[in-house]
Amino acid sequence: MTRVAGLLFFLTAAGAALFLFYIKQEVREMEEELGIVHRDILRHQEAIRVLKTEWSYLNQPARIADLAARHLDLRPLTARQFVRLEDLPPRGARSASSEVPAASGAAPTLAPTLAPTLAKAPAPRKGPRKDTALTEAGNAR
Amino acid sequence: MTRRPEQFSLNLRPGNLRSRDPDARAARDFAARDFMDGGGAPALETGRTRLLVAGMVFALAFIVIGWRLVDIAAFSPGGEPRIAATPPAPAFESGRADIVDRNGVVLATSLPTASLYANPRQVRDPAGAAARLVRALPDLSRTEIRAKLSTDRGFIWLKRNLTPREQYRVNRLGIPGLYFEREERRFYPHGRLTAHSIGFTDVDNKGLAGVERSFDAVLRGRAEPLTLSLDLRVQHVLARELAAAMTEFAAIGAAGLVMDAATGEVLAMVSLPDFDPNRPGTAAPEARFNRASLGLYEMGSVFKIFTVAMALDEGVVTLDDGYDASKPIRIARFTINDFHAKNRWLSVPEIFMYSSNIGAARMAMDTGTAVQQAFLGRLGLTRPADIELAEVGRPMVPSPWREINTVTIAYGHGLAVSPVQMASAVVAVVNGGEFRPATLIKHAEGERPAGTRIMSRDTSLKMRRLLRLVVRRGTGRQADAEGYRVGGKTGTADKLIGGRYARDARIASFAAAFPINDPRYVIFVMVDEPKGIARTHGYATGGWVAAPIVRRVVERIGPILGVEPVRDGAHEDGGEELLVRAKARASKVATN
Repeated sequence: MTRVAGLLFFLTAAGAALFLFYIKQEVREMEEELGIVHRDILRHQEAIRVLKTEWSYLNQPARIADLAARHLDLRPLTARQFVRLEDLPPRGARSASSEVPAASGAAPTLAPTLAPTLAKAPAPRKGPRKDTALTEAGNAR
Repeated sequence: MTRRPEQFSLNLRPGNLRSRDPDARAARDFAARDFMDGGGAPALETGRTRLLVAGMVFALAFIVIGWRLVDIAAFSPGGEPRIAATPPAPAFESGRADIVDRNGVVLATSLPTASLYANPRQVRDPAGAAARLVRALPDLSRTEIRAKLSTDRGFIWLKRNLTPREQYRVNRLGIPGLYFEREERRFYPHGRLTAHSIGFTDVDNKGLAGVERSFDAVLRGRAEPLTLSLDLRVQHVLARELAAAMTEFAAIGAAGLVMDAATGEVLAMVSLPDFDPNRPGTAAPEARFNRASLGLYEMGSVFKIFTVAMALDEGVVTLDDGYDASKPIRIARFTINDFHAKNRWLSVPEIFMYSSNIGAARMAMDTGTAVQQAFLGRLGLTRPADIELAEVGRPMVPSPWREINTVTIAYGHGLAVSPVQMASAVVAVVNGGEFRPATLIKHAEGERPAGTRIMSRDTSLKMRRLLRLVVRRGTGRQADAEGYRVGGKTGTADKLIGGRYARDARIASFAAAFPINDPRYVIFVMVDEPKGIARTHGYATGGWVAAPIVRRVVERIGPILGVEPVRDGAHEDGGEELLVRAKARASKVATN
């Protein structure tokens, strides 16, 4: 009986020791890995820093201006190129105003046909209908 | 019995234990018995007691340990974390924080560099190594390297602060006996462009000038970058235009600032000639001098902005009043004349518009010396600028401040101030009348530091109209930018050289704000000793030299800074009303 118990104890102790050894080994390996990862992080951070500096260096305004002058057909923005949204003609206003006779003929027929379609028909039907309506209007022009 | 001692002596030898000699065994048994009989029992007793005590001690220890185990396992309050803490990932540490502009562009950074050194004793073939090394690092001298590698020393520097590319090339050579030492070096990607405001450091990365110096302790003590108020794009535009003007007018220097009218933040600060902060040692002292903050200049007529603002705010004059500017003023041993002489009665708007010295002088005389001193003091013109730089000039204030000083300061002579002071004072005049110290540090979005009221809002609004008038119809017409309403004032000051005012050496300047109906930015530019050229009909005045710089700068930075341009044909108060009223008054004066 004592012999069996002793054996059991011995086996348990041996198992525990092995397990401990295994875990310790595992942890050591992981710590090593962590160290490598940390070193990598530092290396990459350093590289990022160098690259950021290089990016800033390459973006010197004088250099960009010179490159743009040599390779691009662009000029610095002037105040004349700004337009306020409300100064833009409303969408479609141009065709409506310039084609008054044609549009006046198309408009009444367009409105009643489109309105119910938009209200009732499911989404896919909306597209083709609108297109035909527009081409009709285009033909009328 | 006579054998006993012998037996005992034998007994001590371990081999005898296995002795098969019956005599010896008997003797041993006897000896044991003899031992037990004669005084053996008490010893056994002692042994047992000791065993018991030891056993109890051990049992106690086990009970304590066992109880502790149970305690930890069953009754522990869970103070131990369930998940082990991960050691934090290391952050790259540099000895000095970066400096970035308001948009996050890196202006100064610390880069790890490798310095190349050799252990000449380990270099087997100095001549060959030198030849290969010079191919990788062409700026080294082959003979010098060969001499260095041939010495009998254990350590010698070959080159400090290699770039990563150079280090790679050297590494690829695989020459034994060469090593790298890690070092850190301050690097300024934008070089000259921000040289004066950023400054530079020495080899030990200690700040020697500019922000590097004034924020030395801050930069050392933290990791996150220091965000300046500078906008690199604006800085570039201003620097380029100033440099162009400097070349065109063969000037000896130039300076300029762009400031935010609401906060006092400096968006651009340029001083020319400039230097490369990556090689500060090679720069001439003249180039290292920051004209924008350290340079002190008599600014000339731009000071009339303050004279008129003061007279209006004190109620000494109104926009309808005026002075007779037909005769020069004689005071002490000076005669004050007008450069753009009109030789008639001039209204206040006209005095400002035509930059009449006589008119400004009379206005200041009417206001009084004490008031002028206090007013200029509140505008920060009599004390060093508040900007965060070590290179700040102490204004040259007349002492004592006599009436003659009052008169000359009215049109910008006799009080020498730095461009930073000038620009912050103009900011206070146009932004509604509140003074805010100039700063190089970016404010948080929307944050507006508390200002000190210098003048009434009404006076500030009047000054805006007057400044616009100068650009529309007066001496500053060349500053009228397309699409942006610029208001400003020209200045042309003769330079004081050796105690005398030189006729041919002057400072041409222009102080401007735009858009003038609600100023967002204030620009001040000055050119040192411009020479007249054919295009300007020989003139080298503020109107001919400095005003066009402002126009070009405004046209470029307006779109960059998101200032909405005015529409063509939009109604504008061109100051006609001011002039019409003045004219009516003038004819009245004439008929009287």
